[in-house]
Amino acid sequence: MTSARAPRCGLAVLFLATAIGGRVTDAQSTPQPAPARPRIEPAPPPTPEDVAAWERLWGGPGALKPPEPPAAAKPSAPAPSPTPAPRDERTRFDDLLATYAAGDTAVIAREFRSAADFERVRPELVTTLSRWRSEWSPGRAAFALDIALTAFAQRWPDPGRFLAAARDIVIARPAPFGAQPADDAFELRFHRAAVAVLAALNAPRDVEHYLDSIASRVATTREGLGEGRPVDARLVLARATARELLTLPILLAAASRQDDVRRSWIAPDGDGEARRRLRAVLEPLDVAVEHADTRVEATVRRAFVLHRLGDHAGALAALDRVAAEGDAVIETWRALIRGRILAALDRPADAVAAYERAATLAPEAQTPAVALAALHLRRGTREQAVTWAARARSTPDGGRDPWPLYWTGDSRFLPGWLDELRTSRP
Amino acid sequence: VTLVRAVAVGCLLAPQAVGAQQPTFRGSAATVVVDVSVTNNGKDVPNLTAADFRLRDNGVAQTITRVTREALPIDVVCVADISSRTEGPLLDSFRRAFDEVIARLGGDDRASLVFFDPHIREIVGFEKRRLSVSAETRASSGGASVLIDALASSIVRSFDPGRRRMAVVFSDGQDAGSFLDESDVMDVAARSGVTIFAVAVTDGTTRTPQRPANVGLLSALAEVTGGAVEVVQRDEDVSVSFIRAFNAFRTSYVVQYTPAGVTGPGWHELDVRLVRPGRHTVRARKGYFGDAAPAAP
Repeated sequence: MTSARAPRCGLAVLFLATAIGGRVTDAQSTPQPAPARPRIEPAPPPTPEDVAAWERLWGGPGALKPPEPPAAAKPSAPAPSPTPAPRDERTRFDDLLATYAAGDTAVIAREFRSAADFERVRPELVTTLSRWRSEWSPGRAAFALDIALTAFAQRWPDPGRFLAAARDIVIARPAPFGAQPADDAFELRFHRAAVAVLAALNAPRDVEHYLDSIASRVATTREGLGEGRPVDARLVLARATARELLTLPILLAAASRQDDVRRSWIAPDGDGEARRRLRAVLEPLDVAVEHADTRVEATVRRAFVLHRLGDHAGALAALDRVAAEGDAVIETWRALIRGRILAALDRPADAVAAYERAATLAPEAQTPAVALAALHLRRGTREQAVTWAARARSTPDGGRDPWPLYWTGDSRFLPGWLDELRTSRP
Repeated sequence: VTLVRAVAVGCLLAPQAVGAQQPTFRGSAATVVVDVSVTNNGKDVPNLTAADFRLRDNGVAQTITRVTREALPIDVVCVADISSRTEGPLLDSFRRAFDEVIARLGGDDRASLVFFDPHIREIVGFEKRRLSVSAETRASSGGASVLIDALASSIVRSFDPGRRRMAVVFSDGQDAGSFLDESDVMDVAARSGVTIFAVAVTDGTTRTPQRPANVGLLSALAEVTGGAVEVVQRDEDVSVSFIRAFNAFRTSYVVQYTPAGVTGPGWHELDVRLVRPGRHTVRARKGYFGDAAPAAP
């Protein structure tokens, strides 16, 4: 067979990195006082093939729906009230911000209904966001993040520019970490939400670029620990999840540029690139397992990586060391991964039990049913296989399968985090 | 339409009592059934008999007991990617293709239809109204396609000893959302008893043709099950490929033998050839699992 045009999705997800990295450099050149920030190398621009492959796999930025706004003009929690801009600098965005701050967060979705709407106001918007860095206001940061999110949703070609501008408003705040606990909490929440946006877009390179760009403020790597900066375990886990996405078999096959590579979860000994990528996932996971609020999820992910590296016994031992938690999504992941590990250990009866637990935890999910159908067929219990396969084909399309969420990091928390940002007032 | 690999048309139809709990391969007591396609310059070769075939099971020559053609009804399942990548004229073309297949079904033939994008769903009740009703082919928004999970769950069905089974997959080969991997679906395919044909869609057109980015899996599935892969550019009418697949399967020979000198479970490699002189192309599935190939009633 001749070689096919392999998707370069591992690189395709650099889609937004240039803009985000570039904003960091821009921010350094502004005259506004700002904390020292690391210089990060701009990512190479994505090729058209990168973008096309990324769109082909995940449907492009349009896959991210605009945030569900609260009811229009709903007087929610006290909104931030940024200081009005001087009259001669005031733009329409200051007016929009005032409406937004009054509780009408749907104003952004109403004003920007297409990418063309963003194009029309781009210079004015960039200027306004830049000016907002000079005076710290959480409300402006939340507004800017919502602008970026809507830009993603409307397929504006350069949404990372707005996300970076929003980030710069936050990291330019004058007080250092520890001085203003409410501001500290807002900033961490902001970074979590921003990273979750990128994770929802299946943009792992951009997640890492974002995390690198805030390295002077928040530690998200083992190297950054113990340097007086706060550690946010969710952001550490977000780095791991981003790296894990790059180990999807289809991306590994694309990286190998061989059409006939069998795309399996298990990385063979001879596949150096796959194993290198998997080991890179373990680094942040080893940090995240040490923190209480991420221990269980990090352990589940770590077990899957160990399994994929061929250490099935180690993976099972790790998985069974942590107690179950109340998050049904994570417990479903654990049950599915446990089933796969047990099957690899030639314990099919136990694997069936694990998959059945996943099916119990997520009764409307297709993934456990598919796994059980395949496993029963392999065991020779065809009648059960047929039953589970039929169930897989008939589950309602309610988006209640936890497995796809495994690959989108903390995006499942995004609606809640956005609500908190919109209504928070340090 | 470019015929990339007119791989085997064939099928192990290991007859079994439906609902058998733990089917076992019963050695010499079992009858193994293999679909075999024979063509010469792309045309069917008619009027073949048992004496025209040579068949080896795990390297051991077998005595063919029966050869028939177009005697058994067919079950066909179409598994179609309806994600945003196939929306528009391409998906309209698929709808027409499926209608064409339905129109060619015989009285005892049966069809089923499974759509997938990030979600898998079987469409029921289409027989009476055809797929010109497009409501069911509305794609979900966003997300990664689950080709592997969809195909696996679509071909795991009850054995019916009196029927032959084929699947036609309509996809660009992309999958970034499945829980099963390629090894899993290859195993399912090998055990399923279904012959898999694939219509692989590219991003190209007839003026600037391309190959699908991930045709490797589809080719491997077709090869192991005795099916074929056709590559279709986005502006082509896919119904031609569907009809060709259906006709190829329908006109293939059904070769039966009772294994001798080979017993036990595990993978049995099949080698089917034509004794007749001439440049014939013989295609059949590559083997079967003994433990999943129970005896004929």
